[in-house]
Amino acid sequence: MSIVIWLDAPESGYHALSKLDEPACKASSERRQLQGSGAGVKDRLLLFVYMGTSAHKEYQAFVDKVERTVYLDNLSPHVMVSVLKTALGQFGNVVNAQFIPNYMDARNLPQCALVEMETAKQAKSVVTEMTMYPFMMSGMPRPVRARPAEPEMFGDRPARPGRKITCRWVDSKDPDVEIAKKLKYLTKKHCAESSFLLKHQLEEEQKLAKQQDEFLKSNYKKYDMLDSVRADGTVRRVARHYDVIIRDD
Amino acid sequence: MQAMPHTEEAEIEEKYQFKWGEMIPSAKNGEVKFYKSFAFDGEVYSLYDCVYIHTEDEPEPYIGKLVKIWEKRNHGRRIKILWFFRPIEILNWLKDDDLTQKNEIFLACGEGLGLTNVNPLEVIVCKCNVVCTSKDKRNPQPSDRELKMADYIFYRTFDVGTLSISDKIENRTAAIDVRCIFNRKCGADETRSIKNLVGQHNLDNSRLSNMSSEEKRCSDNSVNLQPNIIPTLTLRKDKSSSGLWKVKVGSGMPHDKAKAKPVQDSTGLDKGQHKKAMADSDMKIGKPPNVMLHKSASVSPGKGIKTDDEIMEVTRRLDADKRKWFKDLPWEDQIQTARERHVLLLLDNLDPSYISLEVEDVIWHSFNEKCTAKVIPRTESSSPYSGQAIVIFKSREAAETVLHKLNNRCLMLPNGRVLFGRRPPRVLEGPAKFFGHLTIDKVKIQARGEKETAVSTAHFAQANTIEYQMAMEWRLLQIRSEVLWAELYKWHGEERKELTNSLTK
Repeated sequence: MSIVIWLDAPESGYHALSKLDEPACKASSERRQLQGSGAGVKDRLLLFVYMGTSAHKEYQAFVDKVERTVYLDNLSPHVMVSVLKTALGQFGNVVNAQFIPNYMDARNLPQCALVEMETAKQAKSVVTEMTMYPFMMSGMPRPVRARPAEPEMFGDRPARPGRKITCRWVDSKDPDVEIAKKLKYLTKKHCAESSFLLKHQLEEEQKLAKQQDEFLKSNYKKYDMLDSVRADGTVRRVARHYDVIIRDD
Repeated sequence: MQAMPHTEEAEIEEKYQFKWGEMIPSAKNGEVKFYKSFAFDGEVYSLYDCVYIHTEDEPEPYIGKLVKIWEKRNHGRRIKILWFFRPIEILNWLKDDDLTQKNEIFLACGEGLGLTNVNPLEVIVCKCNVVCTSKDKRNPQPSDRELKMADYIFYRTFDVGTLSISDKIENRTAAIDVRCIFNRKCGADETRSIKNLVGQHNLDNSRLSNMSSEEKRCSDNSVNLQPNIIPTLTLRKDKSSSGLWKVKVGSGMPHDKAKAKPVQDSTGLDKGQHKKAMADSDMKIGKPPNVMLHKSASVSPGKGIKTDDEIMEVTRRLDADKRKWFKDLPWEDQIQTARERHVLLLLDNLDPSYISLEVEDVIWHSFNEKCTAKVIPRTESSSPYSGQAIVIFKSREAAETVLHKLNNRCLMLPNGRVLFGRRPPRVLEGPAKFFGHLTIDKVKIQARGEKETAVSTAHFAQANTIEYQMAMEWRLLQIRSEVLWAELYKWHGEERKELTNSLTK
């Protein structure tokens, strides 16, 4: 009788746990094989299950959050969190909005932000809508770009559970030393290339902005002239001269 | 030219239980009293003890040897310090293979700036255990245990005049007998030998006259303290339970500032410290080695320290406070501060999925250095292969050491990632720039009333407007740069794969 009770209680406990997530299921099946091997094993197993669940659960929660989040860039420095919230409020409920900090203090880069929506569906629709139609925030005509967020975009992300990092010094006797050196050099080269491309991109942006500015100004001048011609009666005079009938509006 | 008034002195005395030890009889000058030892904040300091000296501008305290302790009536307590150099301070004169000992420091010798300084006694942080490992016959060889207990060791000297390193310790450095520089004989002998030495010190005629004349000058001017090596760490120290620094600063600072000028006026009074003080008065940091320190920042990466430097932790009090102090600041400010202190490094080629704590662990395991790290969050233009992190070290020395090691050797992380470190790029000054938001000046003026609402609203561009047309141009540019980035990173990925595949492990 006592054995039945002993088995019953932990089993139901594991059952409850196994609903939580997978490692618990696995543990539960292992547990069945270990039946009867003693209370110590049982406790340790339970402990393992709990520890597994907390780390995994935290990470899973984070993954869910990432799915609900939209990454925005090409944002003007005038955009504030409140602006983000109102702007994306059109698409659904904004849970949280934050800027991706620019630690290297490159002041010439546009701001990037992460906006967490209430559901993953809302986030998806934000990305599609903003990709289909140009969306303006705190200015025009440079549109905001939206992309699904990635875990690495979060500076405060939790650790991936169960990962172990090893490192070693590759010294002169190591057969890999030459390759390691080359790899290091490669990284250096890649860094330089990336920053060059970034610089190039900024230059392009600046060029386009300038070009558009000129275009806009001349366009404005054109309309301004049209207005003034109309206002000072020149249009009417010319129309009379050529015997053309014009209507106001 | 009043120095520390009596009331404050009394206050310190009360709070930190300051007490003079044995006096050295000096018949010549009743005004100045020389001492062999004193007790301060629960610790007994004797002549020729090594101590940490606090400085405002450097994260690591200086290390020096007490070579003279005195008090002049109404003018506060003074100590003369013979300096030690940390390797980082004299990096330019060190050869690659020069550093075999991880905690080696160098004794100052020769003549010139940076040999000794006179300071107010209160700048002492605490004792530092320095052991001399010189093979010199006169040096009582340290036991293994003593070596293990040592915070630092030294057997070489750095000549501040000729800027050279030597492993011979001369008979007399800064008018101090070599026996005072070597280790003390252990056990009961110790005190006696000190006494003897002190006795000799005074009996030595030439030195006596030399010394007393020096002291006279000191006392006459009462300005020979170093204005700059004054504990002004108040801000950081405010939270400390001791409150020691605050008192010091309160009492020390204003006077010393006032005194800074007289120091300059006393030109040519003394060969050693006065000259130094003058030279320093227009320099930021008190101790001349810093001139060299600045140079060391520009030292070529190849000329590094090769040993596994285990940097001794700064005294408990300092360290704990710094931590508290940092925690209150947001990261941006911390980075700014770290940049100014030169303790900031940028790491490349990390696994992009690493988190900040994991980076800290990597640094801890491979360099044995404590640091705070922050991974740089990915944006659209970040490489998918190489994660970046910024790391703030505890000291400039630590940051330099790590950078040298990363440059000279290869640290391999999983998946053939060789860690690459560099100093962060320079900060761009000025307000944030952003291109592509256009306004027409006249319209702007007209629409000023609506501006608030106009700017903060967000909208989709309508397809029949000029705005839409321009937005499309931007889209085109965005897509073009996306393609460029994708191409670049594809290329990077291939190059990387090719090399990584040829690794044996």
